[in-house]
Amino acid sequence: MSEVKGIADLFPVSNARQGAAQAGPHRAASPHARLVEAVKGGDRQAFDRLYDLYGPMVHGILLARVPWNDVDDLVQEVFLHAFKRLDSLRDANAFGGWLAMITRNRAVDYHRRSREMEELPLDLAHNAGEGVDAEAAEAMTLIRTLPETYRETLMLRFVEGMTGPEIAERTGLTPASVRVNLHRGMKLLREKMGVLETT
Amino acid sequence: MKDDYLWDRSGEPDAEVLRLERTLGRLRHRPRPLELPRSRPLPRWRLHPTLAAAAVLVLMLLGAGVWLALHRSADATTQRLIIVGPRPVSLVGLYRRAESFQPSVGDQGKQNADVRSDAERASRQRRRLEAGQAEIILARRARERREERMMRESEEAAEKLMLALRYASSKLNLVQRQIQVNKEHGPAS
Repeated sequence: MSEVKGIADLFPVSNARQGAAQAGPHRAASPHARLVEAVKGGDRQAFDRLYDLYGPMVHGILLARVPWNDVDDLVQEVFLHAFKRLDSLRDANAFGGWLAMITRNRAVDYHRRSREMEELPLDLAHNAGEGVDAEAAEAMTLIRTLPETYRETLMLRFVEGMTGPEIAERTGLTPASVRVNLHRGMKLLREKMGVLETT
Repeated sequence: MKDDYLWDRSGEPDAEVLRLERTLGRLRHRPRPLELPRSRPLPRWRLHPTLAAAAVLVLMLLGAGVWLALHRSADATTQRLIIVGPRPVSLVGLYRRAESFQPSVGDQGKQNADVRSDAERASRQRRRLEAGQAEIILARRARERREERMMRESEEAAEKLMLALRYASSKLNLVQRQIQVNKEHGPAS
């Protein structure tokens, strides 16, 4: 029943773009979009609400890319950046995708700056983070060996406890893309866990 | 199928998924208080009021320049048209010839007719000349009136331009003072 079928589902990235294109700027404003408009109008509490709603997404995306110890600071930086640049967002309905893009760019900047400042281990898998218990660190290490797309979706699902539809809604990806990413990511993860157990 | 639980937590739970949820759920986002600036910064284009004011000044100067150039060229065209008007006819030679004319006795009748004809022609020429001169005088007066009006309009335009420049300058000073205050005390919320 949950087996994903159809040619379109085989291309999650193009699906996501198609979904974003179909969304367009003229669709009805969602409750989240109304919050965005309220922030643009000067309502700071509305931004706190957006922080509550989208904080887990930003946290999950960062967790898939940067060391655990630095994630909380980066979450703050991402929301601060979004707060300053909110006027550049034309379609309030696209806030989630816009914020996810800022978050991914911020993670790229983090690695660029880290390379400039000091030599860090290139493999994130060995840098799950201090203060994380062994079982969680092991699971994180395995997930971080997966391709980026699956890594991000699985982090949002397992760490942040978001369901597939919630991930799609927050990140701006289509539900089909998220479903494919979850399915394939989990399949790869199972394989890796199996390999780990046999060794 | 077990993937339904992975998708939306419906259906039969998968043991591996449950274990991952439990293990990794400990790392879930714990929101810290968000430290935001007192107010959102203005959009980038509003961050440069000095540039905006300068652009307005340049546009106003350009507009005034174009306006003056157009009016000057219209004035020159009018002057050329006036010059092309009726030209004065010199009748001095004709008068002198008529005064020095002394007819012989035999040709008296014919000469009398010629003299009358010359006098009529001279009279017509004189009337035409007077009419032409009157036309020239009228055109000159019209031109003078036009020049006075244009001078008056130019002065008014210059006054308006100066007023606009003073207004823009005061606005610019105001914005610069506001920027200075914001730098010293932070933007007002």
